[in-house]
Amino acid sequence: MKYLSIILVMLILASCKKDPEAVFSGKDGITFYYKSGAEQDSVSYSFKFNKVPKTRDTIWIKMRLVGKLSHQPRKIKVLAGPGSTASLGSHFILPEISLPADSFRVKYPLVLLSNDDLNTKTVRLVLQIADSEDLVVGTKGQADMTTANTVQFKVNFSNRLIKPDYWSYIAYYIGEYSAVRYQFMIDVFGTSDFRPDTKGGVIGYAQWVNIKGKLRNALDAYVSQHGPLLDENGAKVEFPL
Amino acid sequence: MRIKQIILGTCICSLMFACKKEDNKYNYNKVNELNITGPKDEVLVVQRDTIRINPVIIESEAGSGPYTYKWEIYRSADLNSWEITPINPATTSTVLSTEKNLKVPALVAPGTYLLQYTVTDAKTTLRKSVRFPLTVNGKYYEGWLVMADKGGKAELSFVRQDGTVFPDVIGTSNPGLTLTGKPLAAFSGIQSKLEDVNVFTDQGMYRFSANDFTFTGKSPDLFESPISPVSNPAYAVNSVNFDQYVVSNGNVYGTLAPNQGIAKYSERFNGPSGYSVFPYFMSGNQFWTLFYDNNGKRFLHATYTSRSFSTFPANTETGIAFDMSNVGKTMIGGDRGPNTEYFLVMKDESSYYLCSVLPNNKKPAGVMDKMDAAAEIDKAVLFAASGVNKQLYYAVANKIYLYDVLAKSARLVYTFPVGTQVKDLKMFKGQEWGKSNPLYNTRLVVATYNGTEGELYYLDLLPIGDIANGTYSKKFGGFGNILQINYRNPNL
Repeated sequence: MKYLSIILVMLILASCKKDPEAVFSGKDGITFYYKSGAEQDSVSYSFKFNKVPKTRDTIWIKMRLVGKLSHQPRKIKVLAGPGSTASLGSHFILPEISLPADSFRVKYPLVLLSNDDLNTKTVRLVLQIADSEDLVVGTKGQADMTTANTVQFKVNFSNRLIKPDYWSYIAYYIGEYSAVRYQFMIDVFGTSDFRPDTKGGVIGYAQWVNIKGKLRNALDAYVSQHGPLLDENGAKVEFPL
Repeated sequence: MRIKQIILGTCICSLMFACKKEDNKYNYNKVNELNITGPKDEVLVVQRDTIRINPVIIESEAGSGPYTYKWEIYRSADLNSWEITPINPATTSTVLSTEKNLKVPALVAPGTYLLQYTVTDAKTTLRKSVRFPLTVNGKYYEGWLVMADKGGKAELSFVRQDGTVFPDVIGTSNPGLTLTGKPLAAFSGIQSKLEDVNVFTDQGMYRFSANDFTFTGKSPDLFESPISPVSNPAYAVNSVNFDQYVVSNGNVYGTLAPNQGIAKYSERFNGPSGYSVFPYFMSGNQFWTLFYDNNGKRFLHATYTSRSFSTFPANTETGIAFDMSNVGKTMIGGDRGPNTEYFLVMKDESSYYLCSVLPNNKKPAGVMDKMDAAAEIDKAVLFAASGVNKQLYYAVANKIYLYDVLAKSARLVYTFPVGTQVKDLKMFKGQEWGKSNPLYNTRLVVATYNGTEGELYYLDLLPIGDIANGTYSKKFGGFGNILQINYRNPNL
């Protein structure tokens, strides 16, 4: 028995050999992706953001290949996944697209429709990647130091003002969200895009310092003409010092 | 059991055979340590002049070497940590020389740097590094900005700290640039990453590099809303170095200092309806931003990085000299005294007052003393305070008076010839940050105009406040009708 053990150990040792070079093999996949920290796997959209009224609008969502390049275009399949409250055809359209030849990135053109029922509610679309004949569902998770892959991307949209997904990052400068506060800001600045530079936008700290002063001036002017500005909850709108 | 004994015996025998006598071919030598000494103080050099350093190297083991040498220059901001090492390099260090002694022209931009000198023992490859602080000054590194009207045009001259006078520095550096409007004032803004001179005419503000007076911007481009026509301008940086403020027409505009972020100057500060501030800024560590509202006759304050003024709550305490929320007087001038106590001169219908404010205190109201024993105070608009003594100088026509804040009385300390008008009066003193100078608070600088020529006088002061030797120590002439002077502080 002891000799047998020694022989076994020797055999095990003899069986060791250099690990072969690891090379990925398998079907190529596709995912959505976003900048970690600066962006998220969801976005909010309101048709009310538009200065010129629109009945439909396109949101471009970033996708990329998980696998090898190909000299041929490859079909991508995107579905409305579980958790969606938006309806295909009345609230959105999912165009069929392909990953172009020799490309590893493409933007998915999600078409949103301004249906009348969105005047009173907000709907959610959970975009879900599905296997196509060319590309399977790619691997999700942190891809590198700065970007992450996801196979689901959520879009909340409405005809009403909708709380921007970045609001919690700017509340320090302009206060907690209310639709009235947000509309006042849009009226003062003529834009609905207040995305900070820390979340993929262009407005930096130095600009925020000035923005809150400008909003206080504008609010003083409003109050002197119309009296206090009350939000949808009856609270007086004020901006931080 | 027997097999175990055989294996054990074999191992022991193998280990014993492995033993052998050490060749003992090693020599134990003492490591040569280097002691490098160089300039003890900061190395100062004017841009394009030669940086010369001859370090003394002492070996602990004589006859060591040979050595190789390396001089590197970098800014503190280029360093990931306190020391440059192969795994922690300065991101943008530049090798200046590989000679033992440094003798190279200073071609880098004006600013503060560190010189790292590394000596490597070629035999052992052991290295020793030392660092020397270096300041490269621009041509206009420190001195007086003299704003004058010369033939109806704005002319900014510069009296450098060493006494060299540079007339029309803006015209010299920007031949195609014309400053439109009536000249008013010039201010320097010196702080980390901030090295500007802002020049005001009644048509707007022009910004220049403080190092070479190259034009870098102007209103309205630098502002979110128009500031012209400009009157009674002022410019200041707060004591926490976060904000820059511009005052024009009683309105205040703010932007961050460049080390905090880049933006245009804000809209007019939000605040109580109809406020109109006196163009003088006060700052402390309890009240970061203080102005006096001559319309509301009260003080206004704001925190740093705010673009909105608040009023003070009404004071209900007894024993307080005045109520910050309701002073009821008009400010006509002021300057910073010792220990961040600001001396402001105010008036009402019947009297003039020395009011003091201490923005480092939670209760900033200081004193409110009637200036009954201050001759001609009703004609004074120019004031300069010592930063070490409670002394406030003021000028009237060709005379300079010294008001002793504690004694509450003024005396005449200097008189210029008849026909000479004092146009501005400044105490030579530092900001509340930056480099110090032994001459701070010992020199009163006076700008005059006699109808044909503007002049700048240095009046050195005795500790009691009188003018040393009864006359000026230096005089510079050849200026136009001087409107205002201000000090361009050295870069940090």
